[in-house]
Amino acid sequence: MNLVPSTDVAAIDLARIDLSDPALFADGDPHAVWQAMRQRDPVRWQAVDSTGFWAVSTFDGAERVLTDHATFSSTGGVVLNMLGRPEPAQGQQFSATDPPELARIRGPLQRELAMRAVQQHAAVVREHVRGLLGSLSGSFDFATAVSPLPMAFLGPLMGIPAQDWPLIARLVAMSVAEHDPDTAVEEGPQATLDRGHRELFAYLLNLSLEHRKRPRGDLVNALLALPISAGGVVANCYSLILGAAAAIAHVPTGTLAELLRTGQYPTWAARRAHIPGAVEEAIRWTSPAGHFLRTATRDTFIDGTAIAAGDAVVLWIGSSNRDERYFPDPHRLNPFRRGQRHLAFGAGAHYCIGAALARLALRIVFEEMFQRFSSFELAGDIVHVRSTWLAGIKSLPVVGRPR
Amino acid sequence: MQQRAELEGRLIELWSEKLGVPTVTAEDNFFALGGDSLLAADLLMDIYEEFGLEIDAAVLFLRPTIADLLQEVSAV
Ligand code: HEM
Repeated sequence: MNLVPSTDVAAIDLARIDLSDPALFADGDPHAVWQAMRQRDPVRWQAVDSTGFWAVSTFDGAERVLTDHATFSSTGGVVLNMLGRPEPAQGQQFSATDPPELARIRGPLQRELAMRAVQQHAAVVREHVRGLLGSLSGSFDFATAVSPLPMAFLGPLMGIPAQDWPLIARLVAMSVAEHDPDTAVEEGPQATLDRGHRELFAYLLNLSLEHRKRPRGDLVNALLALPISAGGVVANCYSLILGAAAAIAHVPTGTLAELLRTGQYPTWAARRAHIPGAVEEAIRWTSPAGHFLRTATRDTFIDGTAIAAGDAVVLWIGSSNRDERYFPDPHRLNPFRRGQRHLAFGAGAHYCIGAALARLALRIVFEEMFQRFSSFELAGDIVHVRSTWLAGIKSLPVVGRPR
Repeated sequence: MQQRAELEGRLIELWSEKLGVPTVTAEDNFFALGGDSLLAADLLMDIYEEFGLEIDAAVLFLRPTIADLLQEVSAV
């Protein structure tokens, strides 16, 4: 999807916009649509076939939905492709479980993924990132080059061997970008989702059996030690792998595309001391996990709009992180924004469990990228992912000049 | 052969217990009977614990009938 609005916001007719249509995100201008929503209709009903959802576009609205767990439940599924389908993992998988039960499953993993605990992986992550970027020069596709970034932690955390990455990457894509032509199987998006989900489940079930026979002391073993069923263990592995593998590489790719568009690459590369702030801004600005879904448990209001018990509510992170009331000049990628909260990792009890690891890995990616390349040039057309959930670029052809 | 018949009987029992369906045949599809991925994982873990049999999960997820599982087991 276009990462900055490029059409006339005033001319957008919201009645004709379909936020559930992946085409809007592949070829359309969702940031212009969201801006129009924030101005005119911040909480808008989006009909989808015989059902629909409330689309929440503001920072305040999204934060409220994310943090008011009693009113907005995760048990009905958390992504749009679950709309209207029962969530089998509720109560067993952390992403589909509400507090207070959530803490029982999440606690042990959270300790393993805290900043202090992930710091020990820094050297391994750096070595992996050097392996990805270290030999590149001349023309290459930057999106392809950084896409195996998640392997930096899927190995140490879950015992997934490097040679399985192409398979994992394909199954994860089928599970989160089922409309993308590079991913979808012939039978269509629903079949793509079902197949990706089942094959990934099968893979993870074999992986947990392996861990059971030969414990490795990693996250999979931490899950096996919990009082949950085998299905629950695999469902949590599934959450972990989607969380870990789907979004992260889109932060450097989207950011580089914008730095090339605005000519800011040399400025960013020259200020390495500012990398932590720049990475935080890059995460806000790219917001690769684009939306989350909740189900209202009672009648309530969001930004003044009445919501009925049982209604589906989708908060658009891409929009709330560009809310002009929180972020002055919101579409500008500005590494000097300081002390500002954003919602790219969510908020409240489901706040991304991998956030510390993601920040660590992203700092290393930016350090290594700035260290290796003095400049880049765009060398072809940018292709965006066709997905309502994953905001990102799947092809960024560049010519890179090593220092 | 004896073991196979025993396994088939036990699988039918396990399926009807997990799925809450009174009659299950060897040709029924686990997911069509209302099974989901979590139940499928529970089932394979039970088979592993009870019989020490490691069935490749892909068989249950992609060819989800008892007949297919039995065929897989005899091939091991
Ligand atoms: C830049 C990269 C990432 C982004 C933008 C991101 C974003 C998010 C967001 C917004 C949520 C909240 C979902 C909700 O409220 O329902 C979340 C949850 C989660 N993330 Fe991440 N994530 C990233 C990286 C990771 C990594 C590296 C891991 C694994 C190590 C991970 C694992 C998870 C898991 C397991 C959850 C579910 C937690 C729960 O529901 O309690 N994520 N992520």
